Amino acid sequence: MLKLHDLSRIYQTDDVETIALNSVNIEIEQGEFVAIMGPSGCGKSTLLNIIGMLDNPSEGKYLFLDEEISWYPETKLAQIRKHNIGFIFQSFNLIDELSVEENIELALLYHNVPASERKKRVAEVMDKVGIAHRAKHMPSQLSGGQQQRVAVARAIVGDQKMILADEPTGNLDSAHGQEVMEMLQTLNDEGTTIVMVTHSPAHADYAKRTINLFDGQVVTENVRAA
Amino acid sequence: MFQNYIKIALRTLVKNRVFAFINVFGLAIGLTVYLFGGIIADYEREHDIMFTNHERTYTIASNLSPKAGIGVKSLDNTYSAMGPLIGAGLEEIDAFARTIRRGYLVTSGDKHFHQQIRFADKELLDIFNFEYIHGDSSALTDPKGFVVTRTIAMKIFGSLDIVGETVFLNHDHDLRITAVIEDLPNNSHFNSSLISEPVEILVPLVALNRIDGWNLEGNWTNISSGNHVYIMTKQPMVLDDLNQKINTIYDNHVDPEMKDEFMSSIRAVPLKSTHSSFWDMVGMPVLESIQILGILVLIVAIVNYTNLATAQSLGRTREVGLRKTLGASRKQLIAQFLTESLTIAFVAMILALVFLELVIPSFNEATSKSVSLDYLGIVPWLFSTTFVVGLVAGAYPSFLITRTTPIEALTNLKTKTGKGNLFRSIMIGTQFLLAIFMLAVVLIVYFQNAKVRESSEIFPKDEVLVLKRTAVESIREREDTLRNELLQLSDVTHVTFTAQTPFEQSNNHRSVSLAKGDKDNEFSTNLNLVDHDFIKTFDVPLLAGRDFSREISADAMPATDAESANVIVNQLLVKNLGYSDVNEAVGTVFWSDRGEDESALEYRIVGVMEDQNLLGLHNKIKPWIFVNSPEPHRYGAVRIRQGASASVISEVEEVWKRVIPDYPIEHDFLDGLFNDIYAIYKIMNGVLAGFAALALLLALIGLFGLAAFMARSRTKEIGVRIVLGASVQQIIRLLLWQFSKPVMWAVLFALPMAYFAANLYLQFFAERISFQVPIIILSGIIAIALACLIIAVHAIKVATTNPVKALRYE
Ligand SMILES: Nc1ncnc2c1ncn2[C@@H]1O[C@H](COP(=O)(O)OP(=O)(O)OP(=O)(O)O)[C@@H](O)[C@H]1O
Ligand SMILES: [Mg+2]
Repeated sequence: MLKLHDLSRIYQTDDVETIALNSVNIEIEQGEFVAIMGPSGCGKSTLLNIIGMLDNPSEGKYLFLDEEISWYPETKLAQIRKHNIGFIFQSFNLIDELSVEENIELALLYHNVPASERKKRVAEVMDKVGIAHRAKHMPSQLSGGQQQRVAVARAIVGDQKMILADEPTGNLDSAHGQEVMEMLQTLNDEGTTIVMVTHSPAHADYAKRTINLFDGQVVTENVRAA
Repeated sequence: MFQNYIKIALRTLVKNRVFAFINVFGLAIGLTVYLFGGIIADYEREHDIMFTNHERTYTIASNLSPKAGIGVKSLDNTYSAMGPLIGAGLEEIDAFARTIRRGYLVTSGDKHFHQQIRFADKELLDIFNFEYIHGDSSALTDPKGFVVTRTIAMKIFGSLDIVGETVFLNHDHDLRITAVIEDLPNNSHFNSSLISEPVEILVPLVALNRIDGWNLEGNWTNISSGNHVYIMTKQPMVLDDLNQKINTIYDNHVDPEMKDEFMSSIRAVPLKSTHSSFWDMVGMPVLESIQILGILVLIVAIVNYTNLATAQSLGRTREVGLRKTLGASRKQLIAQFLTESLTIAFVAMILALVFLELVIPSFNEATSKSVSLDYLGIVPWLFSTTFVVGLVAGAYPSFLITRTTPIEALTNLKTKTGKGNLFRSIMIGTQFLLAIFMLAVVLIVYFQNAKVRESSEIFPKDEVLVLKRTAVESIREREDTLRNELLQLSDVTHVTFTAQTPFEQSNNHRSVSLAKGDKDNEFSTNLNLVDHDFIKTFDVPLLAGRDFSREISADAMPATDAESANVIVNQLLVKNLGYSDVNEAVGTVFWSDRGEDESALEYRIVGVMEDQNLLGLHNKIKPWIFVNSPEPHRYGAVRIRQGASASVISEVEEVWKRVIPDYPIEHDFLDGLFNDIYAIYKIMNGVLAGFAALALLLALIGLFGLAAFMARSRTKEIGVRIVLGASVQQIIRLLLWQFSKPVMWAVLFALPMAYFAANLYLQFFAERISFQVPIIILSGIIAIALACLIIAVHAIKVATTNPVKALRYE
């Protein structure tokens, strides 16, 4: 699905130069479930952002579906992104002014899907994540777990092939965290590629492969025995 | 997609009700002023289009030579001789007509009315299709014809069915009603002139020829307001072409010296702009200024919106970041934000129209105009304005906010308040700069006006009753009787007759010199024709010599063409003649040049009076000569004892009726005459104050919104500060300081600007206020105080919030 080759990301701030990623080589196959772990500040989010095309590498190559995209302009990246990649954030990032339904529908609005089709798809994914009974509620009226389920629904409603999740359970208690993990598991079983950053070894265990980062470098890769 | 934008736009509006209201309200005010300015300017420029022939009808105006020296660059009319000349010389002419304005006493039966009459060529009725109630367009072919409007018919006869009735002008000249027409519309130049009365009575010019010997060829000497030369061409013409042709005619007939010294060329003005050519005459771009001020206020309002929207949009970076990760392109996001500002602009426009509908009727009432909102005609303008305002107002905030990368937005990496800070400060500063500037100018104008009023107290304004319209030979003959009878009244102390009262803005010039015919040392002086009692009646102090006396026969000129005259002059004239001591001048003579074929006039100084500002108001003190001449005087002035009984006026009226039964009395206190002119200053000040108040209001509204928003978005930070032990005072100081800074800068820049503008205005006046700097500083202090008050309201609210609440808020 994607391949990072000798990829680096250097932050230039005033006089300090931070090497957030240092010659990283990673390959992720279609349908994989990959967890990224490592101490705080080791570059996990940076890595995820680059995979998600929200950020550009300073050096190296990024092949996405066999296309070299590291030099693509923002508009082109936005096109690739919206058809392929869904995001889930630690802090849910729902829009307060929109209801659950509308938050999910938002992802489709940028896909030129006709209204009737949108309604259908939104209803489907709400069923899937079990939030249908809350369709008309506003985000502020939901619990954290419910909000994250809405976020998951939003990430997959456009039939995205890959989901990037940055500490999706970070703000949730263990029971709700478990729920979200199981949902990701199901999605993966259905063929969605998932890349997830987590601090929880237990949650990392859902993944088939764990990449450990330290100081911007890949230190080990563990593949879970089938 | 678009629906979604509107949905978000509306919800955002509802969620941020206060800001939405401020935004809409501010923009609505700006739009109201802008639209109003535009509508007024249009109204002023589009007069007389109700007349069928308006497109091929023109008035002839004139451009003055720089040597003309009468204070204006052009006139809205020209010599009456040009009418027949153009009529004969212009190939494309269909008809021409002239009007000459004169005041007469109109008598019907035993009722007398002072009326302004337009004597007109009979073709006037071919050019203008007036609405006839009785009679028709042949009404002026009768050499004794008399055409009146409905109002005048009702005033004089109390009826409209009056064709054939007889009226007299100044008792001696009979005319008969040949037509009654509807009152002329407000938006016709016949009725809307600021300098001459509305047209209400038309009489053929041949009658003026009979009554007054007016030469029907017209003349090259007299140009007065209210007189016009109208031409109607066969087809509407290209203005340049027409101008070229009529100037060829003008050049062929005008005396070259006159062309060089006075009227350098003439020009045709399309009928619909004839009304506004008055503004060209004044040389002040009044209409343009109104429009520019409107645009300026609109800009302040747009800046306001931009400012608030920018501040607000920072709270929405997360939404933008998220939309970007969901695949929104920057174009789409910009479209979204512009939809929001367009929505606001649209709502504001509707509100502005409501405001206009409320304001226009009172405006019409106050100015006797009939401005109206012609929706059908202005729809394209309204839409394009809404569109432009929406786009311009939304441009910066949407640019700023959509520039954020999603990571920045989602991780809140950059502090929320950081961006656009400088921009916002500059915007606030600019608004206050304008507001303080305008405020300072208003205050200076106000105090200068107060000064003008104060200086006017030098004349006993409330103790002088001015009798008007006395410039008739038969009244002149009865002056002595009238004076003596009036002096019998116990409350009347003095009575005088004069060509000019204080405050009257009229200049009767003479060139004088110490030695006879000394052209090189000539200087210009003002002349007033008085009788023996002016000095006493108006309390003018004499510095040397004596007042006119009835005992000395030489004090009164025996005839207007006498070779010499005893005069009273003022101190300035004596100084200009070269005397250092006023006593030295008494008894000496100086000379006036009366013109080519008349001999010089010898003036003998019998008294020197103090330099009083007879013209008053803005005028410089001028050299004056008072001559006691036998000509009719335009005014009588009755000095009334202080504390006179209220019946004194009716007593004066009774005496008048007894002595001069054939002319009705018209009177006004000197105070009233002063106020007639002073009103112009007051109106000017009022208009300025209006604009300044709106600018200040908008600036304060903007600051209010911004302070509210900043206070809210800093609730968390402030909560933390409070938890860490900051006192309420410290918090308030923190917030005050953040917003006061740009206001302080504004004060700093506004001060010199206001000083400069104030001096421009003050230059107009001879006597100026001396304390402009404190006034300007005062306006700065007012602005700062208001700003602090507004900010403090929010600061106190935030600072006294329970920190726990504040922290939970985010
Ligand atoms: N915009 C930025 N500018 C400068 N330095 C940055 C920026 N973003 C991240 N960094 C630095 O890059 C390094 C990697 O940051 P990153 O956010 O990827 O860490 P992380 O592994 O996600 O940490 P955490 O587990 O705490 O989320 C850190 O040292 C961080 O300070
Ligand atoms: Mg991170």
